[in-house]
Amino acid sequence: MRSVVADTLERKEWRQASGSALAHHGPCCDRARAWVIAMGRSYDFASTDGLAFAAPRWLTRRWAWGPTRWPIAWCEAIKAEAIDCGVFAVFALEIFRAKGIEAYPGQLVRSCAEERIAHWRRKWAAMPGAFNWIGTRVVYHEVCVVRVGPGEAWVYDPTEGIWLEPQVPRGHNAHLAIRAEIPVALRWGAHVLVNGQWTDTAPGGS
Amino acid sequence: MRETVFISGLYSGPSPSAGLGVARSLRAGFPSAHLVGVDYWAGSSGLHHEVFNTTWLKPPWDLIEEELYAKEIQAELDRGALWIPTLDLEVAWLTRALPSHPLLLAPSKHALAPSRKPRPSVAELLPLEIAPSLDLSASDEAIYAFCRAHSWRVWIKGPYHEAVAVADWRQLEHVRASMKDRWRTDHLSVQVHVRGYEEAVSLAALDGRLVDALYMRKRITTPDGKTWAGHVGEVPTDLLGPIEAAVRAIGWTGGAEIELLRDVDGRLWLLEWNPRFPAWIHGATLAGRNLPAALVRRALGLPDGSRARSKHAEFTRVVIEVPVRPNLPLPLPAEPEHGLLGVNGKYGVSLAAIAPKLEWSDTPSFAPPTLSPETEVDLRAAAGVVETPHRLFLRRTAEAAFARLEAGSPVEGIALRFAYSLKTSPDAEYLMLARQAGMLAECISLLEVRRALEAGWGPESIVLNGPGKWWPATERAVDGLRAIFCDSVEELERLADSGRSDRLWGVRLQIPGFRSRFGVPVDEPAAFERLCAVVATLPADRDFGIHVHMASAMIGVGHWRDVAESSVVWAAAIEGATGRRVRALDLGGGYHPDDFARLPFRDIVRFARENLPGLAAVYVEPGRALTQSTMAMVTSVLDVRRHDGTLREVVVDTCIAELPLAAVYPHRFFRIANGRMAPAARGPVRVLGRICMEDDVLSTGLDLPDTLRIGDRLVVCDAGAYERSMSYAFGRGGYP
Repeated sequence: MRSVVADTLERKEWRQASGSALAHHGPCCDRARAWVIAMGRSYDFASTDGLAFAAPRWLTRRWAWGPTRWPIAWCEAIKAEAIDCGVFAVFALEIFRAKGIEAYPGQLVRSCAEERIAHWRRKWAAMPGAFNWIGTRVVYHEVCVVRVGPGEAWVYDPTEGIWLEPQVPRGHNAHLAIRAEIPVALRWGAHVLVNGQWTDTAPGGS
Repeated sequence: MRETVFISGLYSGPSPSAGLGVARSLRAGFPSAHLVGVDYWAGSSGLHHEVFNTTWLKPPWDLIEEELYAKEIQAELDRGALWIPTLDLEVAWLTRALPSHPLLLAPSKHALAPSRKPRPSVAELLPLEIAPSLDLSASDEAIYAFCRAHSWRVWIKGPYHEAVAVADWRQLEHVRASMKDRWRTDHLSVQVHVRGYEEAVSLAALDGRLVDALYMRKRITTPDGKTWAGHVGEVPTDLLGPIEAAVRAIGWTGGAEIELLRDVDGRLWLLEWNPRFPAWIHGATLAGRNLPAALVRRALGLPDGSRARSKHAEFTRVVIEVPVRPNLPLPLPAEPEHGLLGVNGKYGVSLAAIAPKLEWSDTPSFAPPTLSPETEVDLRAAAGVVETPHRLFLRRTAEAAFARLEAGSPVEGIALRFAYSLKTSPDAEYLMLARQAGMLAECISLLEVRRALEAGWGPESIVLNGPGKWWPATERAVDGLRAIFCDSVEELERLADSGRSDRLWGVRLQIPGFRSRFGVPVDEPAAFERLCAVVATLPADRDFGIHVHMASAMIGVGHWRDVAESSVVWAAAIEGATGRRVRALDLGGGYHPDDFARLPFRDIVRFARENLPGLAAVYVEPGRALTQSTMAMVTSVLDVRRHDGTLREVVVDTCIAELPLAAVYPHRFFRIANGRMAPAARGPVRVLGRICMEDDVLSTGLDLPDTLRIGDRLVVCDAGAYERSMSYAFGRGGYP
C-alpha cells in the first residue's frame, strides 16, 4: 500500500519540522511563562471536576488563531492578539507539564477543503516570517501528544480545544499522518507512534 | 408487508420526539407498511410528514378518556397492529393502562421499574459510573451540604424529564418549586454534573433479548443539549455484553436509549435509561442499521435484516418545511401575552395533566432538621423568651465552635493561624471567645481596628483587609499592624509611600476564572506585569504576602480548593517575577460551619510550602464558620391562613430585616410545642415575614400542623453571623 505520508508531505520543511519553540529573552520571558502556567492552574478546576487529563480549553478562548511572525519570544507571544498552532501547542505543553502530565510535541498533516486554502494563503502571506503550513490540498498542524498510560497516548489539538480521535472519516480536516517527539513508542488507537517518524493515520494508509 | 404500525410522539421541534425518526426508519424497512402517526397536540409538526399514511390526533392528556383510549389501543393491537410509543410519560402510562401484548413494543411495568430515574437499578448491571445524586426529600441542610460538596455543579432533575442546572440555593429553591408545580410531585432529585462528552447507546429488544444496538457520539448539539449531528458506530464490546445481560435481566421490550457521558479521563457515566428509541434513530438507519425495522421484524417473526453498516457513519439534521395536511389545519395561536408564541414542546399544553396519571407508589416524607447536642441544650431557653422577635445567643454552641478551632501542629514548619473576622459578628461575646481561642483579628475598616484594639488585641495581632480599609478618614490609622492586604495596585503604591511600619504588606488577588469584584486582576499580562513591578519596589525589610478569598459556603468545597491552590501558583509566579519571597498566604473566610472542619487546610499549607520556599505563615479567617449556627431567632405567629381548611401560610413577627439572608441559604426551623423543640421538615406551609416586601419569605414550605395558632412560637436556627451583623431596622417606625 502506498504511504499517505509520501503523498501528503508536500513541503520539505514539514518532513523535518519539530515542535515549535519560543525564544527566551530573559526575566521578561520567565514572567510570561510563569503567567501562562498560573493561568493554566486557575482554569484547570482539577478539584472541582476531579479530572486528571482536562486540557487547557481556555487557550482557545483567550487567543484567536492567526499568523505568527517567527521567531517569537514568550513575552511577545502572550501579548499577541492571534497566535498560530505552534504557539498554541507550546502553551498547552507547558500547562500539561506543569500539572504533572507527560506531554510532547506532535505534528499532523491533515486534509483541507481546497476552497479555504486560498484565503489562508493570503492571510499568512501578509505576515512576514509566518510558517508556511499551507499546501495545495493538505496542511501542516501542531498538536500535543499526551501520554495517558504506560504505552498509550491521546492527541490534543490546543488550537481548537479538541481531543482528536485516532480514526476519522476521510475529507476536510481529517488527519492523514502524525509525527511525535516522544521518548518511547506509544499507541494512539490503532496507530503506533514512534519518535520522530511520520505515521500514516488515514483510512487505508500503510 | 402491509402491517399497520402506530407510532406516537410526533413533536418535531428543536427537542423532538422520536416518532418521526421511527416512522422514517420503518418506511425504509417496510415500504408498503401502513404507518399511523399518533399525537396529542395539533401543533406537533410530525403529524404532517408524508411518511404517515394517516394520523390519530387524540385529545390532550387533560381531556383524554383514559379507559376509552386504552380500549382503542387494545382493539388495534388485537386487530394485529403494532404500537411503538416514543413518549416517556406515555410509555409509563401504557404500562399501567394495558396488559402486555406481543405487538405493544414497549417495556412492561416490571421492566420499566429498574430504569426509573434518578438512580436506575439497572445501572448495577452495567460497567458505568453513576453520578452521585440525592432525593430532594432529604433535609434542606443535607441538600445544601451535597451541593457544596460538589461545588454547585449540580442539576435538579424531574421524575421523568427535565434537568435544570442550579448554581446556588436561591436557584435551587426556584427550580424545585417550578418543577414541583409542573410535575405535581415531590419526587425530584439533585444530581452531580459530569463534565463530559454526550454519547448514547440505542437498542432494540424483544422479551429480554437484544435485537440490535448502536453507539452514537454527539458531534453538534442544540442550545438545549439535544442531538443535532452525530457519529454512529458499534457498541464497544466491553459494554455490549453487559447491556445484553441487563436487557435479559429486566426483560426489556421495545426501543431504549442509554444516555452516557464520557469524561475527559475516559470514564463512562450513566445519565439515563430512556424507555423508547432516541429522536436521532433515523441517523442510525442512515448508517445502515435500522433498529425500529429490526424490532418490528423480530416481533413479527420475520428473519433479521441486514446489519451491515453503510458508509454514512455520520448524520446531521436540517430544517425543512412540509405542507400541512388538509384535514389537520394548524391550531390558531392564542391571544398573545408576554412571552413566546406557540411554544408547547413535545407534550403540547398538557404535560401537567399526564404526570398525575402516573401514580407514585409512595409520597416522599421529608427529613427533619437536626441539632447538635450543645444547640439542643441552648434552645431550651427559647421557651422562656417573652418578647419576640428575639435573637438568642447560643452560648454552648458558640463555645463548642471556638473550642474546636485547633490550629494543630505546624505543617513543615509553617503555622496555620486563624484570624477572627470581625465583620461577621462584632459582638463582645464572640470577640472574647476569639481572644480566648488565641485567634488574631481580621478587620476591614479602621472602626473595626478600633473595636479589635478595645477588645484587647494589639496591632501586631491585626490583619487589615478590604477595599475600604482606611475608612473613615477621621479615624486614627494605627501603625504596626501584623498584615495589610491591598485590594488594588494603586493602594499598594500608596502603602509603599506611606512610611508605615507594619510587619507585612501584601495584595489580594482576583483569581482568573472566578468572578469577583475584589482584588488585583492578573488575567492580562499587562496587569500581571504592573503588579510585579510595584511588588518589586517594596522595601526589602517588609514582608510580602498574598491574599485570596472565595467563600466556600458559596462556591463549594472543590472550587475553594482550586482557588486556594491557584493562589499558591500565582504567588509562586509573583515570587519568581519579583524576587520577593512570599512570607504569608491568607486564604480568607466564608466557610460554612459544617465544611470548616473538613476543608483540607493542611494539604494547602503543604502545597504552599512546596511552591513557596520563604513561606512562614498561612492565615485563615473564619467568622461565619464559627458563628452562623450560634444564634437563633424566636418568633411568634401573627396570622394563619388556610385554604379549604388546610394551613397554607403563616405570617410571623420576624422578617428579612432580621434575617437578611433568609433566601440565601437554608435555615433549620423548629416549632415550640409544650416547651420542647419540634423539628419542622419541608412541607406545604409558607412562612412569611412581617414587613411589606414581596421577598419577605422566610421559608418556601414547612410541615406545620393545622392546629397552629396565632401566638405560637417558631425558632429559626442559623441566625448568627451575617444574619446578625447585616440585619437592619425596617418597619419599626424609625432608624437605629
